[in-house]
Amino acid sequence: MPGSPLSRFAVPQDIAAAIEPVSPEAQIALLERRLARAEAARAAAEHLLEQKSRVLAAANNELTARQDSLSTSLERRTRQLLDAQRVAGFGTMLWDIKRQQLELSPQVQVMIGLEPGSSVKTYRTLVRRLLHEDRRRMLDWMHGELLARLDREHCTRYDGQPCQGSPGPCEEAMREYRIEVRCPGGDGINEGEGVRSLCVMAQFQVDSQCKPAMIFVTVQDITRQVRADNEAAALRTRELQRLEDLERLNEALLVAREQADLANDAKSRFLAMMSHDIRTPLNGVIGMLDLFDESTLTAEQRRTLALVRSSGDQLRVLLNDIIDLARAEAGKLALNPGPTNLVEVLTDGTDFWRHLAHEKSLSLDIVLAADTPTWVEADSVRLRQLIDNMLSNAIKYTSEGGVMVKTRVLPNGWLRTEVIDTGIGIPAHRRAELFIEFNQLNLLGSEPGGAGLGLAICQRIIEVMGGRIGVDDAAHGSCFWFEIPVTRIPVPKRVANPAVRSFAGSGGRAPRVLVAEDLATNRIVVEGCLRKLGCEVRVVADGQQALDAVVSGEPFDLVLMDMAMPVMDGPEATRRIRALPGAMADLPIVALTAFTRPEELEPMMAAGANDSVAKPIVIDDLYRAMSRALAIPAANGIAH
Amino acid sequence: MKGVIIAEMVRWIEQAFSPAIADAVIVRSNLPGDGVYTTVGNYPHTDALAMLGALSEISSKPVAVLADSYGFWLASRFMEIYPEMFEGYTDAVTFLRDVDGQHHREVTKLYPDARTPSIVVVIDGEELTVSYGSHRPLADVAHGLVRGYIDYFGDDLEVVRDQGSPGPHAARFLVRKPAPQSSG
Repeated sequence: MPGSPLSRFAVPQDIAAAIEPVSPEAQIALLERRLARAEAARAAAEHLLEQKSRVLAAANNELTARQDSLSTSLERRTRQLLDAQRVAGFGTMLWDIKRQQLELSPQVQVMIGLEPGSSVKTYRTLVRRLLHEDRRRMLDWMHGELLARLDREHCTRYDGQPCQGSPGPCEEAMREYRIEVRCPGGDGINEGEGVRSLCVMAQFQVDSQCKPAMIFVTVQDITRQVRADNEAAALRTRELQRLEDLERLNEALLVAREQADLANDAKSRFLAMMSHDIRTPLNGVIGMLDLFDESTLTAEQRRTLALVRSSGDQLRVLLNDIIDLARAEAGKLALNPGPTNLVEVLTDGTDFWRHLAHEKSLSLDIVLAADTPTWVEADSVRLRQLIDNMLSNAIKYTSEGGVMVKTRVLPNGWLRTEVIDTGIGIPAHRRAELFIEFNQLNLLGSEPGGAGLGLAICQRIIEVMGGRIGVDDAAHGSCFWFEIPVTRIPVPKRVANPAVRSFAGSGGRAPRVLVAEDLATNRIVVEGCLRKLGCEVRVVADGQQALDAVVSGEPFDLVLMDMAMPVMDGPEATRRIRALPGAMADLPIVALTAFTRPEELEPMMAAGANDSVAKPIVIDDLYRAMSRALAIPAANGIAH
Repeated sequence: MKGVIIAEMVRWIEQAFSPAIADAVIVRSNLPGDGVYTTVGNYPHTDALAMLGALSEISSKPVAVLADSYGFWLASRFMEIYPEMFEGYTDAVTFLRDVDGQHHREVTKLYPDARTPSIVVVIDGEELTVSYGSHRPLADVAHGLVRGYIDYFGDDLEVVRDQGSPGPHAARFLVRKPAPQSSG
């Protein structure tokens, strides 16, 4: 043990004698002075302590006020946080691993259907609030992933090495654990209904040794998001189903279209054959009529002949209409534009209709505006077909009054032609039906007649021309009109004497024509027509005979070659003639056939025919085709 | 200066000399407070220097010897007054190592206006160097205090004041095991 820390000192004796009190009075005086000092020190100490107490009290008050302020602020922020959690459908939980304590925010309790403030001591209480089918999954997640972390001796740092309690961020500590579960009671909007979906995310909070101390858990209400996802998935499924339906429908439509195409082809083939088979005998009938020398007939015979001829013409027109329609439907209705005398088409071309109108005591007036061009580039045949169809209808459906054809040029340069009648008129709501094939309106007061093809064909022709067609009300009937683009051209060089229609007066000898035709009737008709045109004629019955005749060296100027013939058909005979040596190979050949569709004529043209003439033979058409093939200007046509 | 240093000095004079000597020292020092000191107050350190000077005149002892003796005694007083300062310590070296970092910090917490001396301790092998520095010229009191702590813990150490120490405001003390004494 150390000794006493006090070292006593002595003072020199003389000094001690002077200082140390000896007398009682001196000793008392010393004691009084010491006492006075002690008293003064005590008073000073008390004063100082009082001062310090005041300072401490003031400090205490200040600290209390600050604590109150901080408490209020903390309370407000806590309330804001809880409000934010409630609005966001978001809650938090904290699991203190060491103390085994679970702390829930009120929103979590609301979300799982507990009263806010309810006592929840273990996570098993929470698991029991989930849907039955989600409880096992939740427990597996907690035990398999979350709590398994607690059993590990160390965690893993970012570099993959054991962390071993080193300070700094730790992959295990940063890792988030996530699961989605459902609980009954509320869909996020209507409490107490449906199922609530929750997203639970957990993260460990570790101590300085990187050992888990807490598990921080967030719980997010994702009911709306899940519902939206489900609805989107259902929508996608429906859309896919719809798409599949559409694809199936499309396939069915493709099959149907294929079948329709096949049917259409079959119809076209049927029409072609039918028209050929009708044309051939019709050619005989009409052609024979043309061979009658009317000067030798009585008046009664002439009238009968005229009726037969008229019926034949109607039959021919109907046949042509059917063929045109078939062409239009196949997209093969083509134009053959050329210099056309518009005035002639509208005036001379309507003579026949004027004659018909007069028979019904109707007037037929042609009104051409002053700016109507005389010559235009157009398909004169189709143009005449348009006007003929309209005039035919107008006269047919008009019983009194008259018909007027008016033509003028529009500001855009197009030609507008109107056929105005004083007939029964067409109700506005039925006008569209006018242009449907084989359709007749059967209006009160009308006299049904014809095949109902005229206007439908007109519309197809107008479509090909790039124009418009329609019908409007007229003052006392209907106004049918069409507008087409036309190109004004200068007056072409014309040959004189347009009335002459014969090769006889064309300067040289009469053309010598070889006719190859298997049907006897047709042979007679063709021969008659050719003789009318001033030709010398030799007739054979098939292609082989025609070839033999040419090879024999007989000097023919032209061959009229039927297509379908026994022994050797027209195309083959044509090909062989073109293969002959010398000038024989250049012999002009004109196809003579009831096949009129371009694809039907194709074999003949490919074999080397110069031109074609359709049956039933129209003598003018024959004359023009022959003129072109012989390079002789047609007497009533245009110089080539 | 904290009142405890100067109030304890009066107590020490009374015990080491006599109450009459202490009274005489107070009178002779002509102190502004007439020797009234309380441990909770603050007083000029010149009062302590004045009293040591008066005591030296009366006792014919050098001031350094008196101050060193007072420091030695004061260490034991601190143990009586502030026993919590010494809790957990079993040796002087560890205690001295923590003087500046721990004990003076506690003093500053209690008395924000206190100007404690700086104590820097360097341990080199088995030798400990305690460097003292203060605006008060009380290096001798510090020397006594170091001796007092070693005495309290009963360590077999000696304290040698570095003779190269610059003066009463600063000093360096070597604390080491005493050299073995020769038998002859």
